[in-house]
Amino acid sequence: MLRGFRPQALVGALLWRYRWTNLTFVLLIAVSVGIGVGLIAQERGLRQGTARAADKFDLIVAAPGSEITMMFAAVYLQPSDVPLLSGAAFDEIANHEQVDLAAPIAFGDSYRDSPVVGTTAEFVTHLAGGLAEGRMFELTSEAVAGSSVDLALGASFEPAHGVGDAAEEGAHAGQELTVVGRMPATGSPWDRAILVPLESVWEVHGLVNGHAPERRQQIGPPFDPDYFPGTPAVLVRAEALWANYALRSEFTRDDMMAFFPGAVLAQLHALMGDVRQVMSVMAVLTQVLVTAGVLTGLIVLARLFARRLALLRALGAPGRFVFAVVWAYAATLIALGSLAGLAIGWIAVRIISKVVTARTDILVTATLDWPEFHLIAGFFSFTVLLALLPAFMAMSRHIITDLRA
Amino acid sequence: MTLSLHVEDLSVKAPGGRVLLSCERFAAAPGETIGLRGPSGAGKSTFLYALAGLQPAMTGKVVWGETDLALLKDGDRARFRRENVGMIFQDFLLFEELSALGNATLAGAFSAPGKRRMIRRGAEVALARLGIPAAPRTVDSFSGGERQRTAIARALAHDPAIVLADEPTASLDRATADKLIGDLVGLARTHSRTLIAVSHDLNLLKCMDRVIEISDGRLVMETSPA
Amino acid sequence: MRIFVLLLSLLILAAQPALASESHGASEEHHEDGHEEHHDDDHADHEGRAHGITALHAWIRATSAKEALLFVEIENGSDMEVRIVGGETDIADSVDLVGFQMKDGEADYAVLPGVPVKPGKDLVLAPNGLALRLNGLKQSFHKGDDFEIEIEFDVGHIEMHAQVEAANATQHSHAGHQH
Repeated sequence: MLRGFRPQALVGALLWRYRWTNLTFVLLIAVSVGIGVGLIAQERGLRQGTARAADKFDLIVAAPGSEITMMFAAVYLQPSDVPLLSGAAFDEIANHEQVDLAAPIAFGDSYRDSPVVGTTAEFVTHLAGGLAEGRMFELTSEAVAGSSVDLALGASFEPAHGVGDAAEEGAHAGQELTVVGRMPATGSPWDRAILVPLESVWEVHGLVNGHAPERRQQIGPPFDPDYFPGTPAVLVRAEALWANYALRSEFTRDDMMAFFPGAVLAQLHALMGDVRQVMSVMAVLTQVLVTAGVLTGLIVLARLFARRLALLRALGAPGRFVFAVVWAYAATLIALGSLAGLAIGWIAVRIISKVVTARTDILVTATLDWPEFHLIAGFFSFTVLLALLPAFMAMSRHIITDLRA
Repeated sequence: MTLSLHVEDLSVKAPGGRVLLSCERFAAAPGETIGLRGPSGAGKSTFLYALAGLQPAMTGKVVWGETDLALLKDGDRARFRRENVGMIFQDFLLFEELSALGNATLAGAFSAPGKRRMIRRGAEVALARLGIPAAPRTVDSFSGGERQRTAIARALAHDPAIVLADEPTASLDRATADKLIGDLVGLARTHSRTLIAVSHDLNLLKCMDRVIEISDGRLVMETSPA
Repeated sequence: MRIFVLLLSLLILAAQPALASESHGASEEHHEDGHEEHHDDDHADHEGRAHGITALHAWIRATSAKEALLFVEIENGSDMEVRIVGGETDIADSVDLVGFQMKDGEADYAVLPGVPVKPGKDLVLAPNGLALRLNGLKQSFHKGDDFEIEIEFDVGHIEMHAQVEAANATQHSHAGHQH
């Protein structure tokens, strides 16, 4: 049906002639497509970033309270006042036959904007793999820094009691800690944290250090329950998923709570998904309105070049050719707009991800993937189909009227 | 190739029903040059477009050679024009963003590849004959005379048997118009093309074999060209 | 005139579902039925007992998909550790015990060999946690329907009825009611 047609030069001439109007159309389409693309990609990036940051935290056991608060405190290092688990409780957890890893997470102190967290060497290895430089802490005066902490190896610091604006500098005057190792980047708020032996946290607060007097120098498990002042949270891990579920069931009781940060996060993500859905509707509406506007504009524009189309037909061009010229014109605009929209979405997502990463310390690296390409393909196909309408209208005009306009 | 023209009982009506043009009988020999004159709104252009098969509501017979345009459907009429008719308009109707060659080979965009090559050769020859250089410059920088000559090249590129012109010199000054008349009529006669031109320009009408007066939708009389 | 026709046809076309994601939604209003009806219910429908184990409030979300997740509360009233291992039902080809985990930011349900419940303890199968996945559903389900399910443990099985709740429900409509 279209054999022998070469509308390219004509379409090009028309596109150039009305280039400013065309540019407006392309930009309108691009912005509306970019919003949709950016929305979907960014939400996915946020979901994946927050999930990755919580990846190493299989099961958290803590004193009963709010799961969300504890998750934000223990996994994302957002400070909170929470009750402590006793030595007996920790002992029970650590010695349970199905527990492969039981690591205390004792947050509460800070240095500048770095949380100082007491834990075990096992936890450091579990969280970050090997160390990027230096060595693991071996004394209560030693510390391992996260990858973005502003302290060099060998530097010393004095922890403040509490975190953020409430931190009391000087509360632990005289207690100096030295950085002996640095973790590789984890893409989580732990990159900003300083990890110290659990014993160190208790010592700094003037408490017994977790071990009976005869083992006072010991760093790390096993701890003596009678000399264990308490820890707000314990990271628990069993190799098998079913065992983790069994542990959660066992450690859910009057004096303890156990939860999966992954499950709590999934609930928060569901909330984010709801917000995304509302915004998706707005994005689709925007696209529909823009498309309607562009097509209306095309119909008006077709009237502007009606005279030239009439000329073509007077010279013997079949109606199908004129149809093809108008449709190719519209399809070109829509294609350019869609591609530009893809680019806009990509740039927006990169910028937003950088800002979020800087603000929250959670590594967000949103990229464009199949869902976005499907969206664009769907929008393109749909709009290009709609563009048949102005093409058809152009083909049905009265030649002589247009010639003499 | 040359074609004779034979018109019988032609009637063109406006959408409202008013008769724009009626013609009982009209004939032209192959290669004749004919001028159409008359007051504005008399139906001259209506007649011209009817001869091109551009009038959708046309009854009667318009026979070029053996082909009755009135019996053909739109698609076939378009093909007839493509193969046999060259058209020239008062306002030139060029694509400003294309070069002279681009404009002259316009019909190639909707022709089969073999025909496209032929049109290109014809366009190059015609442009050369008319003194338009083959530069890639776009025609928006052309003068009126250069534009109309480009339009003539476009009309002749596919070697049509028929050339229809609607007020070809109306937008040109006297000197340019005279030069153009020479080119147009000369090229028509050289190849025995039938040239039918609507015009008020006495200098153009003087060069025609016959001049027909059209008034009030009717071919009133034939006047001598002089 | 033609422009109005164009815009109207565009709006009608846009009313086709264009949203990619399924809805998660907040929990539904549960107490539509009214409390009186609840007391008239046969309580035995909501629970099953055997071997000292009580299973309460089995439910799934309304769906016409090929799979559904069934949730239930297990109370081990016996004095031995028991293990839930799976289930069986006429309305599906097979039943797997699955557990939720996050993989790369996406929800994933992994098949589990069984989960132990210590004596005196509860095990709750709920959204984003443990579930019995019904594979190859033989029909679609609407809110208010019910069907029979057999929950399998290492010591035996429990038969009970399961309710179909709304498609975006997050708990059984009678959750929290004491039986």
